[in-house]
Amino acid sequence: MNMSDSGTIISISDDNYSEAVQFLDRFKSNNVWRNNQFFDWQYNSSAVLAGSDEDNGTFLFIQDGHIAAISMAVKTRFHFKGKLIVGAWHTEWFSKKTVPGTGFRLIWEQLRRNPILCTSGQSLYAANVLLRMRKHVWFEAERLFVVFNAKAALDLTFSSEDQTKAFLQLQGIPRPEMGTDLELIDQFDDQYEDLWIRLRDRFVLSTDRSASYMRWRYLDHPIFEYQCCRCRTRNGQVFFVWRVEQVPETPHRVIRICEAIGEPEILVVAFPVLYDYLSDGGYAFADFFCSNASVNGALVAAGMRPVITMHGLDLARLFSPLSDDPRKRLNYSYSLQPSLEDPACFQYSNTCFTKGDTNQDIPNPFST
Amino acid sequence: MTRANDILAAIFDAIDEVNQQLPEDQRLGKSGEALLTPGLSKLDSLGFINLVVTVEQNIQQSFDKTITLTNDEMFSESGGPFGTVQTLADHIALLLD
Repeated sequence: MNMSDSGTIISISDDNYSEAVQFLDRFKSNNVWRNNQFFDWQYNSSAVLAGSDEDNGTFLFIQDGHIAAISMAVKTRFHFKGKLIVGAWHTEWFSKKTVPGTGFRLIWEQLRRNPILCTSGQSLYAANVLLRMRKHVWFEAERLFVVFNAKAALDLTFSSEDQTKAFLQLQGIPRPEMGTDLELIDQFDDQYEDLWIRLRDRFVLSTDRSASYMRWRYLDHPIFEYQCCRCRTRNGQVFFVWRVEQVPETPHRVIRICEAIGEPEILVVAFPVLYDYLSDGGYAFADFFCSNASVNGALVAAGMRPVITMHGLDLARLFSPLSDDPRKRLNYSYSLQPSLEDPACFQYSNTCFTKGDTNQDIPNPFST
Repeated sequence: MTRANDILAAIFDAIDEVNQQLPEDQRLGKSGEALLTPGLSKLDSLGFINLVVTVEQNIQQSFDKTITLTNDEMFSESGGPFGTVQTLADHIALLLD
C-alpha cells in the first residue's frame, strides 16, 4: 500500500490556519473560529499556559494534499490526585464524508497524547466512539439557578402556567450576614492561589484553576467580558466569576456564573453577598453548572435550586438565540490513561468541572 | 480448519455484524484485500471502532484469549495492523503466539 494515500497528521499552525478555517466553514459557517485572535487564545495560548511543549492540541488529517479531518482540543493542566498532569479538553471533531474514518485517526492521536482527555456537550455519536476507544466516565453536571425577577424569568421559560410562575417567585436567598462584603477584582492574587492550592485536594480531578489559569481564562478572554469578585466572610473568602448575557430579541439579561471557588461552608455564607450585589442589575436569573457535589450542595444550601426538567419548568438553557434545548443539564466525560485509573476516579461528583471549562461558555456567531 | 482460517473467520463474522448496521454502499467486503485503514475504507469512525471491538470479542470467543488491538502501534508509520483484512489477520496471529 502506498503510505502517502493513508494520510498524515500535522498540528495546526499559522501556515495552515486559513485552510483549516475554510474547511471548518463546511460544517459550521461564520463560526467564532474565524476570529484569529479568539482561535489563538483558545488553542495556542492555552497550550503555552498548560506547558504543552509537544503540541497545541489541534490536529489536521491531511490526505492527498488536502485537509480531510480536524480535531480541536484545549491543552489543559489538570489536578489529579495531588499531581499536575497536562491533558486536554477535546472540543470539536469534523471529517469529510468522502473520507470516512479519518476523524477516528485524530481522536486516537488525542488519546495517545493526552493521559487525561475530557469533553463536554458531546453527541451520542462521539460518546459511542470514545467509549469504545478508552474507558470514559460520561455524566451530566447539575444546573443550578436563582431568580432575580420572576416575571422576566417566566418570559424565558416555555410555559406560562400559574404553577411555573409560583415556582419562579419562590425566594430562598437570605440577606447577607453582617461582616461580609464583595470586591470586584481585576487580578487573581496570591491569596487566591493559596486558596486554590488548599481546595484542589478536595477534588479527585479538576482543571487546575491556578491564578495564571484564571487570568488566561477570564481576564484575558478576547471577546467576552467576565466579572470576577472576592467575597469576604468572617471565616474566609471565596471567588466568583460570571458573565452578563443579553437574550437576543428580548429586553432580558441573564447571569451565567462560571466559577464558585471556595470552601463549601464559606460559599454558603458568601453566595447571598453575590446575590445581593447582582439583585440591583435588572437581571432575570443566574445559572451555574458544576460537577462537584460539595460545591453544588453549598450553593443549594445558600438558596440556589437545581433545574428540574419536568414540563412547566423548561427554563431555557441557551440564549443566543433563545433555544428550547432539551439538554437541561450539561454532559461531561473524562478518560484516564489506564495507569492512572483507580476506583475513586470513577465517582464523578468528586470532580470539579464547571461551564467555564473547555469551550462551553463560547461566543456564538451573533456576538462576534 | 487452520488457525489462520479461524482468525479470518472471526474477522469476517465481525464484518458481517458491523455491516448489518451500515447502509449498503458503506458495507465492507469480506476478502483478505478489503481495506480497513480509516480514510481509505468505507467505514466511518464509529463503524471502524465497532469493527475493532467486535473482532476482539470474536477472537476471545474463538481462542479463549484476550487481545487488544487498540495500542500505540495501530497506525504506525510502517502501516500498522489496520491496512487490510489480511494484515489484521496476520497481526492477530502474532498476538496469539
